[in-house]
Amino acid sequence: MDVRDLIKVHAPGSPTEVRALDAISFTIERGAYVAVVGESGSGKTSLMHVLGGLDRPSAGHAFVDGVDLGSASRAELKRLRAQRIGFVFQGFNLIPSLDALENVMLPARYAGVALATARSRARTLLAELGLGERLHHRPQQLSGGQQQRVAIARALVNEPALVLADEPTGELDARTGATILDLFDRINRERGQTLVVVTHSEAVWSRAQRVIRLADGRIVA
Amino acid sequence: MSVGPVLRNLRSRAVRTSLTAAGIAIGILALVVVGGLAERLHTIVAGSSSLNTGAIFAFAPLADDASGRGNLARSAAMIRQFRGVRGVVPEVILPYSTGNDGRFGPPALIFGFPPAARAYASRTPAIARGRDLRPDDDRAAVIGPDFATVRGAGIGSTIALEGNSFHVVGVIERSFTIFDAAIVVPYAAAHALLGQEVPPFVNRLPDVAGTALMVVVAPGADTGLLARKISLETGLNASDPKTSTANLNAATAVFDGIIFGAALVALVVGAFSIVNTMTIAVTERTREIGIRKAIGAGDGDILREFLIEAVTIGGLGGAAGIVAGAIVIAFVNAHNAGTGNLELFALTPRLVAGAFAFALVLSAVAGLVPAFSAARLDPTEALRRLT
Repeated sequence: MDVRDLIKVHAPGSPTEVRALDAISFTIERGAYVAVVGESGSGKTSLMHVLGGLDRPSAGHAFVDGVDLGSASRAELKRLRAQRIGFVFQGFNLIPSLDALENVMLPARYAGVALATARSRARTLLAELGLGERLHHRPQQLSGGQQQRVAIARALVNEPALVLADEPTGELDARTGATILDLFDRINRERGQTLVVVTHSEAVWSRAQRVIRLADGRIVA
Repeated sequence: MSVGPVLRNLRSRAVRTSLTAAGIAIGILALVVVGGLAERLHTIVAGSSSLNTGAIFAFAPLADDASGRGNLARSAAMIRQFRGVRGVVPEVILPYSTGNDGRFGPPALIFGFPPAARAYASRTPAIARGRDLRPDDDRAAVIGPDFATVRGAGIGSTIALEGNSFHVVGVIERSFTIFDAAIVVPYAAAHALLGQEVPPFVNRLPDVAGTALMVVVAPGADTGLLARKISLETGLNASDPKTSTANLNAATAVFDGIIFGAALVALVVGAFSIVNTMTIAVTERTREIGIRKAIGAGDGDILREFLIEAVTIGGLGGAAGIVAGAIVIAFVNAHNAGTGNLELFALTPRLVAGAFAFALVLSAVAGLVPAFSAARLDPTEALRRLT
């Protein structure tokens, strides 16, 4: 991942214009475990949205897996999100009408993976994460830790090059949060996937190999 | 996306889904019931058309004039000389009773056809039970299904006509024509009934050969021209079969337009409820849309998912409306059939398929706008709803 002079301005030209990212540059090697930290409003979420192909840079460049996110078409961004990037959100954000297995299968289906293959992959991943007995439980039937493990399985089902996690332990108690962080360590170590975790929790960033600290849209450390 | 999650989504908003589906169901119920009425009308028109053998029918006017114009026997002799006429066959058609027998449908009539009528064209409908009349029958009769129901008659029953007893030997197959309520007797017997208690206009015809003439025309003859010539030169009321068919079809088309228009209004109201429900669903699920996009859904995936939901609501409402319509139709038809009245509605396979397809298409169209707005949602805007 290569970010060069990345600028993101929200509501440009309007009275509420906000310069969320202000000419930041950094490179993240494949397989790295990086934490992006900063206070609320520092630009963490804007950075995650740009790196995740959900939002476009206002200026500068961001390359993920060789794709320039600024000039990529909508279809290329969709393909990138479906196949090369996995998201883990703070509030788990599983689809409530789907059971654990269906939630994990969803990105695979969006990526065009055949139904049987998607089901098999999802089943295997959930079993690996200790949820083999909870395949057909709906999110509201699972604990917070279990939901976050389903969310992690969902992020991994397409074996993405990059996993983006936004405050992955934000809604978990300390013990469950530690279990989830152990899982991230394992994913990074065993699968070699690049892990970018947005957080303001020291318990999280202390585990990362590298910390990018943001303040007012700029890298300060 | 499989149907399971869609149904679960809809079940999680059971009241709203039910009310929306009920709106569609009412529209489809209206469509099925009025459509059933239209289908019955089409059946009746088709039945009448099946009786249209291409021959011209000429009836005596209510009163013949002093010159003898309107006299059937004399007119028949004249018509036989017209170019393009192959033959003229008299028929006896008499009212079964002068009063209203209290039933809804065509009036009960007495028919008598000479053997020649059969030689030219099939004017008598098929027999469902028993047998048809034979040339050597004297006091035998075949009766229509409604005639049988109203009078509790069947094969072996005796029907009295102007003091003469007729033995029922067959029951006519239902054809949704005037024969459903008719009694057909041998021509000679029907002819003998003339001069007894029959309408005044018949009594005034001294050498009457029947009450109507079937004028069989040669292939290629202009039936319109012939009918006008018969009317002008004999004083009979002659009808061109092509004009009759065209008039029937035009009347049917107008009726179809009116009733389907009314049903459409009901359905459009239902469609607006789908637009409303799906718009609310998109608003409520904005965050879910953002998540779906973040994990790889394209605009097309989101569009399809919301459209499937809209169509599922339409399908549920459509199915419920069809079932409700079928129950209403079955109830009314059963009541009518039991009293010998016309079965008002026809629930045909094409009506069921058409109504269901209409519900699906309408709900898809109604779901398009909210589904498009869902598909075009900016994922970052949608994800901001997360916090």
